[in-house]
Amino acid sequence: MSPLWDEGLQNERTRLAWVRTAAVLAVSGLGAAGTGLRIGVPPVIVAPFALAALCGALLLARTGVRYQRVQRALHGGAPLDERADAVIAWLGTLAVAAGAVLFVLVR
Amino acid sequence: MDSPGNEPDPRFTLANERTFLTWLSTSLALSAGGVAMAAVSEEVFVPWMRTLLALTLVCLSAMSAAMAYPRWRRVQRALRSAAPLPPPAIAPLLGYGVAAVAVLAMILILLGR
Repeated sequence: MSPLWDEGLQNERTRLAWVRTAAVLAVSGLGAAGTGLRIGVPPVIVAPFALAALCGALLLARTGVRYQRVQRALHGGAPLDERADAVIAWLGTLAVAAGAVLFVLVR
Repeated sequence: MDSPGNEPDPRFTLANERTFLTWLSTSLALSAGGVAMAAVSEEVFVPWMRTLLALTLVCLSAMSAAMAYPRWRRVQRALRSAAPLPPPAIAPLLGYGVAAVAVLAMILILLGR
């Protein structure tokens, strides 16, 4: 374990990266799903965007918890490697990509 | 914790996590670009060209998203076993792809259709 635990503000930068990604996920999901509903895009395209918005919201809600956990792990020298949030972020992004591909194809 | 080895320096674990998130953000931006390209009106670009450009962007987006998680795990395993890091997978393809779309779009705009 390294004696220097967070001199580069790693945890804070990582937290901001999570907030950026989750916010883009939530906003793009919400925007695309909302616009899609308005202009009458088939539900099969709206659904992945709605799922992405949900994933983004969930990640934003978990930001503080994740930060605190990493902070504790860094102080206590515990191993770091959590996958649950990453899987949610991955799922949301895949949903956006799938929605975008479908939108381009039916357009 | 999927393989034996030493717990890597937390700085590197977190840097790997941020890189993973950056790949996801890149994919989201490409999706937004693709959807925007598909949504422009037919007076701006010829329809088949518009679809081609949009399809290129969303395919690049899907590829970046798809490889992000496996690559994150692979880098974490490499850190744990102090092995060399895997090369940045599709980064060159991404660069050339976006550049090609930009150049084509510029030519179409300059030609007026």
